Amino acid sequence: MPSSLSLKNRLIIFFLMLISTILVGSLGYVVIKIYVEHQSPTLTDAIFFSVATISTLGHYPRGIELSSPVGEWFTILYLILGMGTIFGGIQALVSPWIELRIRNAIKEHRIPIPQDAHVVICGWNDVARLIQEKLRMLDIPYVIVAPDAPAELPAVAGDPGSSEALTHANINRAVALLALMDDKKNAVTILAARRLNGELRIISLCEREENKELLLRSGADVVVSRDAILNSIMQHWVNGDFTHLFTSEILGGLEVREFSVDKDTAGKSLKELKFRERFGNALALYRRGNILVNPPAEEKLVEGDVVIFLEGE
Amino acid sequence: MLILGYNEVTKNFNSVIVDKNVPEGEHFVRGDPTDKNTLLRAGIMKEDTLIVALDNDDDAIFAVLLAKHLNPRIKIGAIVKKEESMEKMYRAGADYVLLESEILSSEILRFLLSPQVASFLDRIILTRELEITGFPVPEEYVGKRIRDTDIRRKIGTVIGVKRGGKLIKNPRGDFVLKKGDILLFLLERKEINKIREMMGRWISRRD
Repeated sequence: MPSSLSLKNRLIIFFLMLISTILVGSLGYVVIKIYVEHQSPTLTDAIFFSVATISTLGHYPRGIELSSPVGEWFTILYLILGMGTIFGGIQALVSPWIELRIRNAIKEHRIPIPQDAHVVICGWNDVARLIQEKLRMLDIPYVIVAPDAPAELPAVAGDPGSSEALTHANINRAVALLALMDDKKNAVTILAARRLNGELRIISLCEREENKELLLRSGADVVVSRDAILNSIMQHWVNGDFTHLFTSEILGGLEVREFSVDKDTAGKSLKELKFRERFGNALALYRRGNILVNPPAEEKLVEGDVVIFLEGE
Repeated sequence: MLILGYNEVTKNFNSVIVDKNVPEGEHFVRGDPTDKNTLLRAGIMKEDTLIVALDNDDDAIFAVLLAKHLNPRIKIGAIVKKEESMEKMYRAGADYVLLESEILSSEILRFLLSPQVASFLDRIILTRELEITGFPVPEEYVGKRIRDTDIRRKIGTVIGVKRGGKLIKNPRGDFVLKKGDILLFLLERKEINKIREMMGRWISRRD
């Protein structure tokens, strides 16, 4: 019996098979009793014989058993048929239930979904995998939302475009959402996520440059355009310019870091902070959205400034 | 330069593009990029650079093999999708291979973890408001340590020094400059000419 059938249908099929097996046995019993063994069996005897045989009772009360050679052969064959019906049927009936139990048992031990200040990764592909590895390394809580999300990681198996799946991923307490699917799916996901959490920082991947605007309008804060990036990097290589020499820094991005100026460091200059000795070479200074490239060493820092620097060894 | 693969990445390279479904025009060669005759027809023998950006990694690897076989001097840059294709690409003869997922994931991570750095680097690679530029070291600074010169104050941070074929990244303040060194700076594009003029004065003063 295929397990794709519903439990009700499986139950019906099982009973039909059981009844027909008993009917076949009873009929055979009656025919053999009357025409081979020349006795007159009752209907109760026939059914009793059938049930006793297929349930492998192993013992027949006096007068019930078939004692002629034909009768014995019939009993043997019928026993095999009956066992098939009983064991096959019961297994088909019970196994889906057991499967369900096992699945529930695993579900109970699933990795919990982070509650607060986590990153929601939408989509499961190479890009998502690399990001997930890095976040795990950095101990940043995350949850993956995808129809094919892996069970061994914190994940919600579902459509990232649906409010239900996003709610399940505790989107209302998350800090960021990464939309890493195709442009259409990303747009739908961003719209759904934005409605559920207005504060969320949404970073989206974009396959076609022309869709960038749409994704931004859907509510993404940052859109990373695949075409534009690959094109620029290739172009720097073709030009063989100096920027290309620094691609490992630019692509790896680990040596280029940022330093936020807080209360304690505000009012001091880079020189006074011994910035170069302590952190590295300052490349630029962000102040209220403006960028100052190659900031002078005497420049006094203001709270909220961000210094971009090339980390020293 | 020759390009295999007609798509958004390669469209605006302003070179001849080879693919099966290119539009009509002198900038296009219609044909299978993994076919020897197509490559010959596109003039692979006289080109010095090849860019391979095909949808299928196996096609791309084969095209690189073929191109390198036809023209061993050609420099090849390629984009691949699968991680395992990276090494195959280099073995096939590519000089520069980009793994799409790696680049995209690091860009997204940067926007997630250090957004200021991300937008800063985008000014270099994408919008090109900023540029890494090299100037030869002025004669008067040869033999001096970087920190004893006014280079930092007048131009900016030296992010690298090109010495012969070598690149020294992020030199320290006590780095001693030699004749022929090229100093690398990160500068705003609009300032480059001004600085070039200034460097010119330094150089001309020496004459």
